[in-house]
Amino acid sequence: MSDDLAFLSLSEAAARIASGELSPVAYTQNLLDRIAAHDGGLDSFLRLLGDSALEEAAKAEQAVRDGETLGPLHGVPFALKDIVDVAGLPTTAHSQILAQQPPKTEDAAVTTKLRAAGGVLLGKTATHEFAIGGPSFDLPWPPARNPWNRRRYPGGSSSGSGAAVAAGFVPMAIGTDTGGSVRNPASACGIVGMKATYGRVSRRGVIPLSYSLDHVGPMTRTVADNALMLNVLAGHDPGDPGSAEIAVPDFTADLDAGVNGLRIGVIRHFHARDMIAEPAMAEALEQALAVLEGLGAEVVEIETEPLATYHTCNRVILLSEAYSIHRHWLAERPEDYSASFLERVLPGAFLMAGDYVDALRLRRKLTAGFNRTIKDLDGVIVISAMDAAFVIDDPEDMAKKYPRQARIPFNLTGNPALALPTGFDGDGMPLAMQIVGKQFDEAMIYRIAAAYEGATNWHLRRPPL
Amino acid sequence: MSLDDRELEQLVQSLGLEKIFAAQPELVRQAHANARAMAGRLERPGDIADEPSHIFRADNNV
Repeated sequence: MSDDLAFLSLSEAAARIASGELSPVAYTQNLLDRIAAHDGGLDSFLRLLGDSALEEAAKAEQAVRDGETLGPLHGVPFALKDIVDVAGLPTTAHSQILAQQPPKTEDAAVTTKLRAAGGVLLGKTATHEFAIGGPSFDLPWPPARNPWNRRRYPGGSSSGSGAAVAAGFVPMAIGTDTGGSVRNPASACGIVGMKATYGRVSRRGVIPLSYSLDHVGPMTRTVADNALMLNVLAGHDPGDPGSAEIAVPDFTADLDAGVNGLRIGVIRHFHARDMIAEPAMAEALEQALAVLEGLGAEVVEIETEPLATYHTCNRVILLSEAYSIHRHWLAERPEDYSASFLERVLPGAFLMAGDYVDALRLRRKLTAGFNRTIKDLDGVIVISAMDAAFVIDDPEDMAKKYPRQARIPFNLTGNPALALPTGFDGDGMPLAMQIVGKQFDEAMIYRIAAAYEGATNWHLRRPPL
Repeated sequence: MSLDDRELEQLVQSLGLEKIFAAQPELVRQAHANARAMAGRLERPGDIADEPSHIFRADNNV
């Protein structure tokens, strides 16, 4: 089993496959072998699709031999968080509520796009129950764990996607993000996760948690891979009421443009006043700023509303919408939910219409204010979490650290935000930051992220499986 | 807004949540308390001209 194949970049794998140098079947089998060897106790996959993946890989191999036109992900395996529909498979949301559901009849929009680009579906990954209630030990499947240390939480709710990408089980996976759930596992597992602008990626065929806050996003090991994946995922979809009808640029076009002359903001008060980050996390962010300055960027400190204002606004909207979605099951089958799901979502039953409308009114003000603040900037650096990944079996550690994050503001404002690694703490756990951009300017985020990644080597470290 | 047992029971019935209330009354009471505390922390816009965000106008929602 070759680590070289396990950690191939997306673009390199696609290029080697297209040239005939790498067999999609051998590549897929290599990853399946690696999963068989290492996913026990890591539990990143809920459902592995070994046979169908090898069949898809064989078709991809034949297409190369036949000289067919190949998509940008031709023959490259991917994984989907198990709230994303695949025709012929149930979508469980990691919940007893949906454990016995019949198979879906249609692919989700993102599944269709990844397949059309030539991707090979390797399996469905673990999530928090319905993308919110977890990590939980009272569900039909165990929670995923962190490949850097199996005692630690891998982030969530796209837990399995983050763990699988970091562990070298797949080069790319789909996550979803309502309060940070792509960026949280990206941060905790030391990979790259993008929550693109609200409306950029279709949510059709994805189980909703909160209609107005949900985003679907790419999770990869490198910035270039992430941009390549977003190229495939982005685009207007009339089947998603929130989908934006806006041109999609080539997100890889400016990856080598550097940051010389760019004006980059930093919001320090999120982690130095509103919440206090652990020193290693804050120091890593300062070092990242120094790297960007060293590459020629001008870094300016900016202020926005306190984190608590964003957090409360997000929670009122999220829980109101989530309760609307789960109302019938909460009434009829409450015993089929995990304890943590009930604890988190049940308050939504007791929020009032006026609370929800006032939160939406505040949301509009927060969004307008944030976009005014950043209008003369090319991007903004923000901490992702205040702490490295907590101990997954320690309820006290979880209760203390779970809410200590700064990702929620950008679900409210809809601005694109990318999480990427900034180092490791004394226990060998990944540290991370976010790069936030103007609405629909994901390309600039990738440009800044690529410059930073190119000047560091955090993305080259591998977890000790 | 704190409710006595009878008031909470009536509210729970109006929401159809009797089943979970019967099994876990303290969880439901805590959920109500958490929701009202959350609503109490919410900053309310003071100007009636402050409209809600138009959540399904992603390309024009500010």
